[in-house]
Amino acid sequence: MFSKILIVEDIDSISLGVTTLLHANFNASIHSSKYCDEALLKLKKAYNENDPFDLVVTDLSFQDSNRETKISTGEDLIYQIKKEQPFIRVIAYSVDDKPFRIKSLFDTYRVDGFVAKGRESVTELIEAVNHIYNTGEKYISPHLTYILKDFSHRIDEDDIELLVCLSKGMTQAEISDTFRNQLKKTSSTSSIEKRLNKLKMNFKAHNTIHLISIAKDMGLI
Amino acid sequence: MHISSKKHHVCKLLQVYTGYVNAFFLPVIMIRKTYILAAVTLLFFSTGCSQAPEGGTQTRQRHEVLLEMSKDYNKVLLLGLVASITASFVLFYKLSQKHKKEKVLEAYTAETRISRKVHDEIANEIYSTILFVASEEVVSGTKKDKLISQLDDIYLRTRNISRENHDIDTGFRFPIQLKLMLGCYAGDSINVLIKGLEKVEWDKITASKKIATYRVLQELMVNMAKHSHATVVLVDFKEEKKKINITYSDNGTGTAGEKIIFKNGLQNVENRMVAIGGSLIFDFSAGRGFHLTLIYPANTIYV
Repeated sequence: MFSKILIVEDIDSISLGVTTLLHANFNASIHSSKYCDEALLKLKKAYNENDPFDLVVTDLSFQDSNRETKISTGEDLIYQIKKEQPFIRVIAYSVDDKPFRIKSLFDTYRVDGFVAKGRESVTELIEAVNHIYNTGEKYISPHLTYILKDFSHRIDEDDIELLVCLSKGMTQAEISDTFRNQLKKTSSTSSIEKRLNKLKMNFKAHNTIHLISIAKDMGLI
Repeated sequence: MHISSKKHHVCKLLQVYTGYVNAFFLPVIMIRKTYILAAVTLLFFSTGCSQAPEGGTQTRQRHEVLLEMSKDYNKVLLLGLVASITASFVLFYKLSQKHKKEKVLEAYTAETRISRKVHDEIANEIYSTILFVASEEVVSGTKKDKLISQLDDIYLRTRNISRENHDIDTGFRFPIQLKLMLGCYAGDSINVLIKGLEKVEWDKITASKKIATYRVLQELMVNMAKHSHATVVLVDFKEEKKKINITYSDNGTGTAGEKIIFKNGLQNVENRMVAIGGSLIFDFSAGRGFHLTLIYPANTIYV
């Protein structure tokens, strides 16, 4: 298990809560810091003394203090940590659950886990620590998994064209011919079939008639 | 003596004229001042002419020359007037446009500032209260669970306020952000389809328009998730004839008939579109669902 953990959190009560929680569940030495700059110094010092940290749990936003700070956000801190000591695992722990910010944490900052502060965050944090240690994979709060999955679907002009053709009563073979005449890239009957199946899925349609009826409701044809 | 005083007038007129040229770049008040200056000069000039001495061919010639000169002055004056009027119109238009733009940005800064405050101060505070109640023996028994769940409810609401008004990346990451925002309303029961988002040249569109686009679509998605019972939503982006067309349509319950109730949400949508020189078009031809097209100019109308 992780042997040395650093908690970076500017609100004392939360910091204390997390420390107690991790103490109760893991046999590790736990340190905490209220400022990003101080946290980075602690990490450096530990590394130089040959006793490095192996896990950091950090908040993302820190209230402006009167101190002059070089690093003021969790993102910058994570960036520095991953740059200087890439072997350290980092879990972001925040009230912020904006999809864009979380996605960029994983994509740009290569964070190992994200736990949203909330009612379930206590169990989720323990889960995250175990998950990351045991599997080495990324962890995200269950209710936010959709962010990494990307549920949105893209459709294009050809999809609309296909729907229009279908609504005119054309068979798939006829549509294939029309598409070929228009020099479209995908014009074979099998690719038309594939496109149609994708559309049925995208529009949550059970069959082709249902698909056309939904497309009509949407004002597409 | 007389001629030199005329010369003085010419100088003055020229000054006024250059004053007008300068007025392109000066506030409106300055234009008013130059108007007064011009009027005063004109008055001096005309009284000076009527008091000119008479008699002798020399003086007549002189008078003719003076008449010629005064005609020229008049031309200059007329030109100056026309120039100043055009200048003030242009200035007025530019200033009002600038003011409009500033207002949009001001509203945006206020929004994000409040959002950050709600997030940093209130949400975190409530969260630590939840932790406190959960860990300490402040309340006991079943009441404790109830208290925690109520606090949690408040916490989630504050977080939502903060999320709905967060700042928007108007740089090159804007399309990705917009796509993610739209995508986060998708789920097991709702599919979100996006068409043509990448085809719009977002880098050529101003920040205030990007913000308006983002917020308007967010508002529509929130409404959709709350009321429509839709299963499919399509957001279609097009760039035609230097205009951005965004069509939102879903297959939900839509609005009752053609009566649109401009409640808070839709009113916001309209306000935001008007603020960036755009408009909304509702489409009821499909009979079902909610269909709305947003149109706004891709380029700024003023130079």
